[in-house]
Amino acid sequence: MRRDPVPVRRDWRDRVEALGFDFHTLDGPYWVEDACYRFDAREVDLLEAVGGELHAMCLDLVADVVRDGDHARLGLDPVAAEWVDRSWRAGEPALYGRMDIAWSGRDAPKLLEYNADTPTALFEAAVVQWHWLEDTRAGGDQFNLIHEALVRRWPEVLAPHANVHFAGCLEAAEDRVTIDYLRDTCMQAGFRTQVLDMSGIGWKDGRFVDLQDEPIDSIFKLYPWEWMRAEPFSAHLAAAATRWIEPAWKQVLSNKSLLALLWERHRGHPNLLPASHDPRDIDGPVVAKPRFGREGEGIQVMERGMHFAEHGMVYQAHAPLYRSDAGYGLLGLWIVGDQAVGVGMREDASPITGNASRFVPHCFD
Amino acid sequence: MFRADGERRRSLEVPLLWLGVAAFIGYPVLRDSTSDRMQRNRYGSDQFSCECDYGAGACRYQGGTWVGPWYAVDAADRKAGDPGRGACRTGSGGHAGHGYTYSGASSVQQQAYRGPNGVEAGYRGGFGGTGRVRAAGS
Repeated sequence: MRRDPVPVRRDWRDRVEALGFDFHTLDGPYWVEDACYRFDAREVDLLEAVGGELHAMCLDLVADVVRDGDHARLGLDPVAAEWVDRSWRAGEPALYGRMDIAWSGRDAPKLLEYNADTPTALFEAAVVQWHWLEDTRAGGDQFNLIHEALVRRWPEVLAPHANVHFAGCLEAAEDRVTIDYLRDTCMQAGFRTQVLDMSGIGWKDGRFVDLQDEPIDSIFKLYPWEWMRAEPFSAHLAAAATRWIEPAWKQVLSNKSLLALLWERHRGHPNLLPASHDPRDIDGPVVAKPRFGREGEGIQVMERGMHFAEHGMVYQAHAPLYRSDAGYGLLGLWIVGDQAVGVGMREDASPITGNASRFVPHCFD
Repeated sequence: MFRADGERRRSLEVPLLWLGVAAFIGYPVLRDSTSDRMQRNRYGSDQFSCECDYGAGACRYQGGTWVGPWYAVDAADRKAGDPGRGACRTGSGGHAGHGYTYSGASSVQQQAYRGPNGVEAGYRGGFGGTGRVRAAGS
Protein backbone atom coordinates (compact mmCIF):
# COMPACT_ATOMS: atom_id res chain seq x y z
CA MET A 1 0.00 0.00 0.00
CA ARG A 2 1.27 3.43 -0.82
CA ARG A 3 -0.10 6.92 -1.27
CA ASP A 4 0.40 8.16 -4.82
CA PRO A 5 -0.21 11.64 -6.19
CA VAL A 6 -2.67 11.57 -9.12
CA PRO A 7 -4.19 14.26 -11.36
CA VAL A 8 -7.38 15.88 -10.12
CA ARG A 9 -10.40 15.80 -12.41
CA ARG A 10 -10.85 19.33 -13.66
CA ASP A 11 -14.58 19.23 -12.93
CA TRP A 12 -14.39 17.05 -9.83
CA ARG A 13 -16.68 19.27 -7.82
CA ASP A 14 -19.45 19.16 -10.40
CA ARG A 15 -19.00 15.45 -10.84
CA VAL A 16 -19.29 14.53 -7.18
CA GLU A 17 -22.16 16.95 -6.64
CA ALA A 18 -24.00 15.36 -9.56
CA LEU A 19 -23.94 12.15 -7.55
CA GLY A 20 -25.57 13.89 -4.61
CA PHE A 21 -22.34 14.19 -2.63
CA ASP A 22 -22.74 17.71 -1.30
CA PHE A 23 -20.46 17.63 1.74
CA HIS A 24 -17.20 17.20 -0.15
CA THR A 25 -15.90 20.28 1.64
CA LEU A 26 -16.44 20.82 5.34
CA ASP A 27 -14.28 23.25 7.32
CA GLY A 28 -11.57 22.06 4.94
CA PRO A 29 -11.49 19.54 2.12
CA TYR A 30 -13.26 16.28 2.95
CA TRP A 31 -13.11 14.58 -0.45
CA VAL A 32 -9.49 14.62 -1.66
CA GLU A 33 -8.49 13.25 -5.05
CA ASP A 34 -5.06 14.69 -5.70
CA ALA A 35 -3.77 11.40 -4.34
CA CYS A 36 -4.95 7.85 -4.01
CA TYR A 37 -4.00 4.84 -1.95
CA ARG A 38 -2.68 2.13 -4.20
CA PHE A 39 -2.74 -1.53 -3.21
CA ASP A 40 -1.73 -4.69 -4.99
CA ALA A 41 -4.03 -7.65 -5.47
CA ARG A 42 -2.37 -9.70 -2.76
CA GLU A 43 -2.94 -6.94 -0.21
CA VAL A 44 -6.59 -6.79 -1.16
CA ASP A 45 -6.88 -10.54 -0.75
CA LEU A 46 -5.29 -10.22 2.67
CA LEU A 47 -7.70 -7.51 3.75
CA GLU A 48 -10.66 -9.51 2.55
CA ALA A 49 -9.50 -12.53 4.50
CA VAL A 50 -8.74 -10.51 7.64
CA GLY A 51 -12.14 -8.81 7.54
CA GLY A 52 -13.97 -12.11 7.21
CA GLU A 53 -12.03 -13.73 10.02
CA LEU A 54 -12.41 -10.80 12.42
CA HIS A 55 -16.10 -10.60 11.72
CA ALA A 56 -16.52 -14.31 12.42
CA MET A 57 -14.64 -13.90 15.70
CA CYS A 58 -16.98 -11.05 16.59
CA LEU A 59 -20.07 -13.17 15.95
CA ASP A 60 -18.63 -15.94 18.12
CA LEU A 61 -18.13 -13.40 20.85
CA VAL A 62 -21.75 -12.25 20.67
CA ALA A 63 -22.86 -15.88 20.97
CA ASP A 64 -20.65 -16.28 24.04
CA VAL A 65 -21.94 -13.10 25.67
CA VAL A 66 -25.54 -14.19 25.16
CA ARG A 67 -24.85 -17.72 26.36
CA ASP A 68 -22.91 -16.63 29.45
CA GLY A 69 -24.90 -13.51 30.29
CA ASP A 70 -21.67 -11.54 30.25
CA HIS A 71 -23.28 -8.21 29.34
CA ALA A 72 -22.14 -6.16 32.31
CA ARG A 73 -18.55 -6.06 31.10
CA LEU A 74 -19.85 -4.33 27.98
CA GLY A 75 -21.64 -1.72 30.06
CA LEU A 76 -25.01 -3.07 29.01
CA ASP A 77 -27.72 -2.81 31.65
CA PRO A 78 -30.30 -5.61 32.07
CA VAL A 79 -32.75 -3.97 29.69
CA ALA A 80 -30.16 -3.61 26.93
CA ALA A 81 -28.99 -7.13 27.66
CA GLU A 82 -32.49 -8.42 27.10
CA TRP A 83 -32.69 -6.69 23.72
CA VAL A 84 -29.32 -8.12 22.74
CA ASP A 85 -30.31 -11.63 23.73
CA ARG A 86 -33.70 -11.50 22.13
CA SER A 87 -32.45 -10.20 18.79
CA TRP A 88 -29.57 -12.66 18.73
CA ARG A 89 -31.72 -15.65 19.62
CA ALA A 90 -34.25 -14.60 17.01
CA GLY A 91 -31.46 -14.74 14.45
CA GLU A 92 -32.00 -11.18 13.27
CA PRO A 93 -29.49 -10.66 10.46
CA ALA A 94 -27.24 -7.63 10.29
CA LEU A 95 -26.78 -5.43 7.26
CA TYR A 96 -23.37 -3.82 7.38
CA GLY A 97 -20.48 -2.44 9.39
CA ARG A 98 -17.05 -0.88 9.06
CA MET A 99 -13.90 -2.02 10.77
CA ASP A 100 -11.28 0.62 11.36
CA ILE A 101 -7.90 -0.90 10.69
CA ALA A 102 -4.38 0.33 11.37
CA TRP A 103 -2.08 -0.87 8.65
CA SER A 104 1.26 0.30 7.46
CA GLY A 105 1.08 -2.02 4.47
CA ARG A 106 3.90 -4.13 5.90
CA ASP A 107 2.92 -5.67 9.22
CA ALA A 108 -0.36 -7.42 9.90
CA PRO A 109 -3.49 -5.22 9.77
CA LYS A 110 -4.76 -4.44 13.27
CA LEU A 111 -8.37 -3.92 14.33
CA LEU A 112 -8.82 -0.56 16.05
CA GLU A 113 -12.61 -0.74 16.42
CA TYR A 114 -15.72 -2.04 14.76
CA ASN A 115 -18.31 0.58 13.79
CA ALA A 116 -21.04 -1.99 13.59
CA ASP A 117 -24.13 -0.01 14.52
CA THR A 118 -24.18 3.31 12.67
CA PRO A 119 -21.25 3.43 10.24
CA THR A 120 -21.09 6.38 7.87
CA ALA A 121 -18.70 7.39 5.04
CA LEU A 122 -20.52 4.66 3.15
CA PHE A 123 -21.62 6.66 0.13
CA GLU A 124 -18.11 7.95 -0.45
CA ALA A 125 -16.74 4.43 -0.33
CA ALA A 126 -19.42 2.67 -2.36
CA VAL A 127 -20.26 5.30 -4.98
CA VAL A 128 -18.05 8.39 -5.12
CA GLN A 129 -14.70 6.60 -5.26
CA TRP A 130 -16.14 4.06 -7.71
CA HIS A 131 -17.02 6.87 -10.12
CA TRP A 132 -13.61 8.45 -9.49
CA LEU A 133 -11.93 5.31 -10.77
CA GLU A 134 -14.29 5.05 -13.71
CA ASP A 135 -13.37 8.59 -14.70
CA THR A 136 -9.66 8.57 -14.00
CA ARG A 137 -8.60 4.98 -14.63
CA ALA A 138 -5.91 5.66 -12.06
CA GLY A 139 -5.68 1.94 -11.35
CA GLY A 140 -6.87 -1.31 -12.76
CA ASP A 141 -9.44 -2.12 -10.11
CA GLN A 142 -10.75 -1.16 -6.70
CA PHE A 143 -11.76 -3.23 -3.68
CA ASN A 144 -15.34 -2.08 -3.75
CA LEU A 145 -18.19 -4.53 -4.09
CA ILE A 146 -20.14 -2.58 -1.50
CA HIS A 147 -23.03 -1.53 -3.71
CA GLU A 148 -23.66 -4.95 -5.16
CA ALA A 149 -23.33 -6.57 -1.77
CA LEU A 150 -25.87 -4.22 -0.19
CA VAL A 151 -28.43 -4.82 -2.92
CA ARG A 152 -27.91 -8.55 -2.51
CA ARG A 153 -28.05 -8.40 1.28
CA TRP A 154 -31.40 -6.69 1.76
CA PRO A 155 -33.50 -9.73 0.82
CA GLU A 156 -31.56 -11.74 3.40
CA VAL A 157 -32.29 -9.14 6.08
CA LEU A 158 -35.95 -8.41 5.36
CA ALA A 159 -39.12 -10.40 5.04
CA PRO A 160 -40.44 -10.71 1.49
CA HIS A 161 -42.39 -7.63 0.39
CA ALA A 162 -41.43 -5.74 3.54
CA ASN A 163 -42.22 -2.05 3.74
CA VAL A 164 -39.06 -0.52 5.19
CA HIS A 165 -38.74 2.76 7.04
CA PHE A 166 -35.44 4.61 7.23
CA ALA A 167 -34.83 6.95 10.14
CA GLY A 168 -32.03 9.10 11.46
CA CYS A 169 -31.04 12.69 12.11
CA LEU A 170 -31.99 14.05 8.71
CA GLU A 171 -30.67 17.50 9.42
CA ALA A 172 -27.11 16.14 9.46
CA ALA A 173 -25.84 16.02 5.88
CA GLU A 174 -23.65 12.96 6.30
CA ASP A 175 -26.36 10.97 8.05
CA ARG A 176 -28.93 12.03 5.49
CA VAL A 177 -26.78 10.90 2.57
CA THR A 178 -26.01 7.58 4.25
CA ILE A 179 -29.72 7.01 4.81
CA ASP A 180 -30.61 8.08 1.27
CA TYR A 181 -28.03 5.77 -0.18
CA LEU A 182 -29.00 2.74 1.87
CA ARG A 183 -32.62 3.42 1.08
CA ASP A 184 -31.70 3.52 -2.60
CA THR A 185 -30.02 0.10 -2.39
CA CYS A 186 -33.06 -1.26 -0.57
CA MET A 187 -35.36 0.00 -3.31
CA GLN A 188 -33.09 -1.56 -5.90
CA ALA A 189 -33.53 -4.82 -4.03
CA GLY A 190 -37.26 -4.50 -4.65
CA PHE A 191 -38.60 -3.16 -1.36
CA ARG A 192 -40.93 -0.27 -0.62
CA THR A 193 -39.29 2.39 1.51
CA GLN A 194 -40.12 5.57 3.39
CA VAL A 195 -37.96 7.96 5.35
CA LEU A 196 -38.55 10.00 8.47
CA ASP A 197 -36.62 11.73 11.17
CA MET A 198 -36.05 9.77 14.37
CA SER A 199 -38.16 12.33 16.18
CA GLY A 200 -41.05 11.58 13.83
CA ILE A 201 -41.44 8.02 15.06
CA GLY A 202 -44.63 7.66 17.05
CA TRP A 203 -45.93 5.15 19.57
CA LYS A 204 -49.61 4.42 19.28
CA ASP A 205 -51.85 1.51 20.19
CA GLY A 206 -48.91 -0.65 21.14
CA ARG A 207 -46.99 -0.08 17.92
CA PHE A 208 -44.38 2.26 16.55
CA VAL A 209 -45.97 4.33 13.78
CA ASP A 210 -44.77 6.65 11.05
CA LEU A 211 -45.93 10.17 10.23
CA GLN A 212 -49.09 8.80 8.64
CA ASP A 213 -49.75 6.67 11.73
CA GLU A 214 -49.02 3.55 9.72
CA PRO A 215 -47.28 0.81 11.69
CA ILE A 216 -43.53 0.51 11.35
CA ASP A 217 -42.77 -3.15 10.82
CA SER A 218 -39.14 -2.87 9.72
CA ILE A 219 -36.93 0.13 10.21
CA PHE A 220 -33.33 0.92 9.44
CA LYS A 221 -32.12 3.45 11.99
CA LEU A 222 -28.91 5.40 11.68
CA TYR A 223 -29.11 6.12 15.35
CA PRO A 224 -27.03 4.42 18.04
CA TRP A 225 -28.66 1.87 20.27
CA GLU A 226 -27.13 3.48 23.34
CA TRP A 227 -28.89 6.73 22.52
CA MET A 228 -32.21 4.97 21.98
CA ARG A 229 -31.68 3.27 25.32
CA ALA A 230 -31.54 6.65 27.05
CA GLU A 231 -34.64 8.11 25.39
CA PRO A 232 -38.30 7.92 26.42
CA PHE A 233 -39.52 5.50 23.77
CA SER A 234 -37.03 2.88 24.87
CA ALA A 235 -39.74 1.85 27.31
CA HIS A 236 -41.70 0.47 24.35
CA LEU A 237 -38.94 -1.47 22.63
CA ALA A 238 -39.61 -4.71 24.42
CA ALA A 239 -43.31 -4.64 23.65
CA ALA A 240 -43.11 -3.60 20.01
CA ALA A 241 -43.00 -6.02 17.12
CA THR A 242 -40.90 -3.62 15.05
CA ARG A 243 -37.79 -5.13 13.53
CA TRP A 244 -34.80 -2.80 13.93
CA ILE A 245 -31.83 -2.72 11.59
CA GLU A 246 -29.07 -2.90 12.72
CA PRO A 247 -30.32 -5.43 15.25
CA ALA A 248 -29.90 -4.86 18.98
CA TRP A 249 -27.13 -7.45 19.28
CA LYS A 250 -24.89 -5.06 17.34
CA GLN A 251 -24.48 -3.23 20.67
CA VAL A 252 -21.92 -5.86 21.52
CA LEU A 253 -19.81 -5.09 18.47
CA SER A 254 -20.11 -1.31 18.30
CA ASN A 255 -18.90 -1.17 21.87
CA LYS A 256 -15.19 -0.58 22.54
CA SER A 257 -15.27 -3.25 25.24
CA LEU A 258 -15.44 -5.64 22.32
CA LEU A 259 -11.71 -5.05 21.89
CA ALA A 260 -10.88 -6.19 25.41
CA LEU A 261 -13.13 -9.23 25.19
CA LEU A 262 -11.72 -10.24 21.81
CA TRP A 263 -8.18 -9.98 23.13
CA GLU A 264 -9.06 -12.19 26.10
CA ARG A 265 -10.35 -14.89 23.78
CA HIS A 266 -7.74 -14.57 21.06
CA ARG A 267 -4.66 -13.33 22.86
CA GLY A 268 -1.81 -12.95 20.41
CA HIS A 269 -3.98 -12.98 17.30
CA PRO A 270 -2.04 -11.15 14.58
CA ASN A 271 -4.94 -8.84 13.70
CA LEU A 272 -5.78 -7.80 17.25
CA LEU A 273 -4.05 -5.38 19.59
CA PRO A 274 -3.69 -5.95 23.30
CA ALA A 275 -6.76 -4.39 24.92
CA SER A 276 -8.19 -4.33 28.41
CA HIS A 277 -10.36 -2.39 30.82
CA ASP A 278 -7.20 -1.86 32.86
CA PRO A 279 -4.37 0.03 31.15
CA ARG A 280 -1.81 -1.61 33.42
CA ASP A 281 -2.35 -4.79 31.42
CA ILE A 282 -0.80 -3.11 28.39
CA ASP A 283 2.86 -2.40 27.85
CA GLY A 284 4.02 0.74 26.11
CA PRO A 285 1.88 3.54 24.67
CA VAL A 286 -1.83 3.14 25.31
CA VAL A 287 -4.89 4.54 23.56
CA ALA A 288 -7.78 5.26 25.91
CA LYS A 289 -11.21 5.00 24.28
CA PRO A 290 -14.66 5.68 25.75
CA ARG A 291 -16.74 2.54 25.55
CA PHE A 292 -19.48 4.32 23.59
CA GLY A 293 -17.43 7.04 21.89
CA ARG A 294 -18.12 7.98 18.30
CA GLU A 295 -16.15 9.71 15.54
CA GLY A 296 -12.95 9.73 17.58
CA GLU A 297 -14.48 11.67 20.48
CA GLY A 298 -12.79 11.22 23.82
CA ILE A 299 -9.89 9.18 22.45
CA GLN A 300 -6.51 9.91 23.99
CA VAL A 301 -3.07 8.59 23.14
CA MET A 302 -0.93 8.04 26.25
CA GLU A 303 2.63 7.77 25.03
CA ARG A 304 3.90 6.69 28.44
CA GLY A 305 1.06 4.34 29.22
CA MET A 306 -1.44 4.74 32.05
CA HIS A 307 -1.37 3.59 35.64
CA PHE A 308 -5.02 3.77 36.62
CA ALA A 309 -8.31 2.71 35.06
CA GLU A 310 -11.28 4.98 34.52
CA HIS A 311 -14.83 3.72 34.50
CA GLY A 312 -16.32 3.31 31.07
CA MET A 313 -12.98 3.37 29.28
CA VAL A 314 -11.26 0.73 27.21
CA TYR A 315 -7.50 0.69 26.70
CA GLN A 316 -5.76 -0.57 23.63
CA ALA A 317 -2.10 -0.82 22.72
CA HIS A 318 -1.09 1.91 20.35
CA ALA A 319 -0.65 0.85 16.73
CA PRO A 320 0.97 3.24 14.30
CA LEU A 321 -1.16 4.27 11.34
CA TYR A 322 0.16 4.55 7.81
CA ARG A 323 2.25 7.72 7.59
CA SER A 324 2.83 9.98 4.61
CA ASP A 325 3.50 13.66 4.01
CA ALA A 326 -0.27 14.11 4.14
CA GLY A 327 -0.53 12.72 7.64
CA TYR A 328 -2.01 9.54 9.05
CA GLY A 329 -4.01 7.08 6.95
CA LEU A 330 -6.75 4.89 8.43
CA LEU A 331 -8.23 1.98 6.55
CA GLY A 332 -11.99 1.40 6.77
CA LEU A 333 -12.88 -2.16 5.88
CA TRP A 334 -16.52 -2.53 4.91
CA ILE A 335 -18.43 -5.62 5.92
CA VAL A 336 -21.77 -6.43 4.32
CA GLY A 337 -23.47 -9.48 5.71
CA ASP A 338 -20.54 -11.59 6.83
CA GLN A 339 -18.00 -10.65 4.19
CA ALA A 340 -15.46 -7.90 3.67
CA VAL A 341 -16.47 -6.18 0.46
CA GLY A 342 -14.59 -2.92 0.21
CA VAL A 343 -12.23 -0.30 1.52
CA GLY A 344 -12.49 3.41 2.28
CA MET A 345 -9.38 5.37 3.24
CA ARG A 346 -9.44 8.32 5.63
CA GLU A 347 -6.53 10.52 6.55
CA ASP A 348 -5.82 13.30 8.96
CA ALA A 349 -2.99 15.40 10.30
CA SER A 350 -3.89 13.91 13.68
CA PRO A 351 -3.44 10.24 14.56
CA ILE A 352 -7.05 10.30 15.78
CA THR A 353 -9.50 10.03 12.93
CA GLY A 354 -12.62 12.14 13.32
CA ASN A 355 -15.75 12.88 11.32
CA ALA A 356 -13.97 15.57 9.29
CA SER A 357 -10.95 13.45 8.41
CA ARG A 358 -10.38 13.46 4.68
CA PHE A 359 -11.66 10.69 2.42
CA VAL A 360 -9.12 9.62 -0.20
CA PRO A 361 -9.98 7.14 -2.99
CA HIS A 362 -8.07 3.93 -3.55
CA CYS A 363 -7.33 1.48 -6.30
CA PHE A 364 -5.26 -1.61 -6.87
CA ASP A 365 -3.32 -3.08 -9.74
CA MET B 1 -10.02 -17.03 0.09
CA PHE B 2 -7.46 -15.85 -2.45
CA ARG B 3 -8.95 -15.35 -5.82
CA ALA B 4 -7.80 -16.07 -9.31
CA ASP B 5 -6.08 -13.23 -11.06
CA GLY B 6 -8.27 -11.06 -13.18
CA GLU B 7 -11.46 -11.41 -11.17
CA ARG B 8 -13.30 -8.13 -10.80
CA ARG B 9 -13.25 -6.70 -7.27
CA ARG B 10 -15.46 -3.69 -7.73
CA SER B 11 -19.10 -3.33 -8.52
CA LEU B 12 -20.02 -3.83 -12.13
CA GLU B 13 -22.16 -0.74 -11.98
CA VAL B 14 -23.41 1.61 -9.29
CA PRO B 15 -26.78 2.91 -10.44
CA LEU B 16 -28.62 5.34 -8.19
CA LEU B 17 -32.37 5.68 -8.29
CA TRP B 18 -32.27 9.00 -6.51
CA LEU B 19 -30.62 10.76 -9.42
CA GLY B 20 -33.96 10.66 -11.17
CA VAL B 21 -36.26 11.44 -8.31
CA ALA B 22 -34.67 14.33 -6.40
CA ALA B 23 -34.36 12.24 -3.28
CA PHE B 24 -32.66 14.92 -1.25
CA ILE B 25 -35.58 17.21 -0.82
CA GLY B 26 -39.06 17.12 0.51
CA TYR B 27 -38.75 14.71 3.41
CA PRO B 28 -41.21 15.23 6.20
CA VAL B 29 -39.03 16.18 9.12
CA LEU B 30 -40.80 16.66 12.39
CA ARG B 31 -38.46 19.24 13.80
CA ASP B 32 -40.39 20.31 16.79
CA SER B 33 -40.66 17.22 18.87
CA THR B 34 -37.49 15.28 19.72
CA SER B 35 -37.69 14.18 23.31
CA ASP B 36 -39.98 16.97 24.46
CA ARG B 37 -43.37 15.91 25.74
CA MET B 38 -45.93 16.31 23.00
CA GLN B 39 -49.70 16.37 22.82
CA ARG B 40 -52.47 17.28 20.45
CA ASN B 41 -55.98 18.50 20.97
CA ARG B 42 -59.02 16.36 20.29
CA TYR B 43 -62.25 18.03 19.25
CA GLY B 44 -64.79 15.22 18.78
CA SER B 45 -67.11 16.25 15.97
CA ASP B 46 -66.29 19.94 16.47
CA GLN B 47 -64.40 20.67 13.28
CA PHE B 48 -65.08 24.34 13.72
CA SER B 49 -63.10 24.67 16.93
CA CYS B 50 -60.20 22.69 15.55
CA GLU B 51 -59.97 24.88 12.50
CA CYS B 52 -60.34 27.98 14.59
CA ASP B 53 -57.31 26.88 16.58
CA TYR B 54 -55.13 25.69 13.72
CA GLY B 55 -56.68 26.35 10.33
CA ALA B 56 -58.26 23.82 8.03
CA GLY B 57 -55.00 22.42 6.70
CA ALA B 58 -53.73 21.34 10.08
CA CYS B 59 -56.82 19.48 11.29
CA ARG B 60 -57.48 15.83 10.54
CA TYR B 61 -60.46 13.59 11.07
CA GLN B 62 -59.01 10.48 12.58
CA GLY B 63 -60.54 7.65 14.53
CA GLY B 64 -63.91 9.36 14.83
CA THR B 65 -62.64 12.68 16.10
CA TRP B 66 -61.12 15.86 14.79
CA VAL B 67 -57.55 16.29 15.97
CA GLY B 68 -55.12 19.16 15.74
CA PRO B 69 -51.37 18.97 15.12
CA TRP B 70 -48.81 17.92 17.71
CA TYR B 71 -47.28 20.58 19.90
CA ALA B 72 -44.86 20.67 22.79
CA VAL B 73 -46.58 20.60 26.17
CA ASP B 74 -44.05 22.91 27.73
CA ALA B 75 -43.98 26.27 26.01
CA ALA B 76 -40.26 26.49 26.70
CA ASP B 77 -39.72 23.44 24.48
CA ARG B 78 -41.52 24.92 21.49
CA LYS B 79 -39.44 25.44 18.38
CA ALA B 80 -40.15 27.52 15.31
CA GLY B 81 -43.16 26.04 13.61
CA ASP B 82 -44.67 24.56 16.73
CA PRO B 83 -48.43 25.16 16.32
CA GLY B 84 -48.93 25.65 20.03
CA ARG B 85 -52.06 25.00 22.05
CA GLY B 86 -54.39 26.66 19.58
CA ALA B 87 -54.89 30.23 18.46
CA CYS B 88 -58.50 30.58 19.55
CA ARG B 89 -57.94 28.65 22.73
CA THR B 90 -55.18 30.95 23.84
CA GLY B 91 -56.81 34.09 22.67
CA SER B 92 -54.06 34.87 20.26
CA GLY B 93 -56.25 35.47 17.27
CA GLY B 94 -57.73 32.54 15.45
CA HIS B 95 -57.47 31.71 11.81
CA ALA B 96 -59.10 34.66 10.19
CA GLY B 97 -58.63 33.21 6.75
CA HIS B 98 -61.31 30.75 7.63
CA GLY B 99 -63.63 33.38 9.00
CA TYR B 100 -63.18 32.52 12.62
CA THR B 101 -62.73 34.83 15.50
CA TYR B 102 -61.90 34.31 19.11
CA SER B 103 -65.30 35.62 20.10
CA GLY B 104 -66.66 32.30 19.07
CA ALA B 105 -68.81 33.70 16.33
CA SER B 106 -67.96 32.43 12.90
CA SER B 107 -68.80 34.70 10.07
CA VAL B 108 -69.24 31.61 7.94
CA GLN B 109 -70.99 29.09 10.10
CA GLN B 110 -72.15 31.13 13.07
CA GLN B 111 -70.80 28.46 15.37
CA ALA B 112 -69.39 28.96 18.81
CA TYR B 113 -65.84 28.10 19.62
CA ARG B 114 -65.98 25.47 22.30
CA GLY B 115 -62.39 24.38 22.39
CA PRO B 116 -60.98 20.88 22.57
CA ASN B 117 -62.79 18.23 24.54
CA GLY B 118 -59.55 16.54 25.47
CA VAL B 119 -55.91 16.15 24.68
CA GLU B 120 -54.02 13.14 23.50
CA ALA B 121 -50.73 12.51 25.22
CA GLY B 122 -47.76 12.71 22.92
CA TYR B 123 -47.01 9.65 20.90
CA ARG B 124 -44.18 11.15 18.92
CA GLY B 125 -40.87 12.58 19.94
CA GLY B 126 -39.71 9.75 22.15
CA PHE B 127 -36.65 9.18 20.00
CA GLY B 128 -34.26 11.68 18.48
CA GLY B 129 -33.39 13.90 21.40
CA THR B 130 -29.74 12.89 21.66
CA GLY B 131 -29.27 13.35 17.94
CA ARG B 132 -29.96 17.05 18.27
CA VAL B 133 -26.67 17.62 20.01
CA ARG B 134 -24.42 14.80 18.78
CA ALA B 135 -23.52 13.13 15.49
CA ALA B 136 -25.12 9.71 15.11
CA GLY B 137 -22.69 8.29 12.58
CA SER B 138 -19.42 6.60 13.36
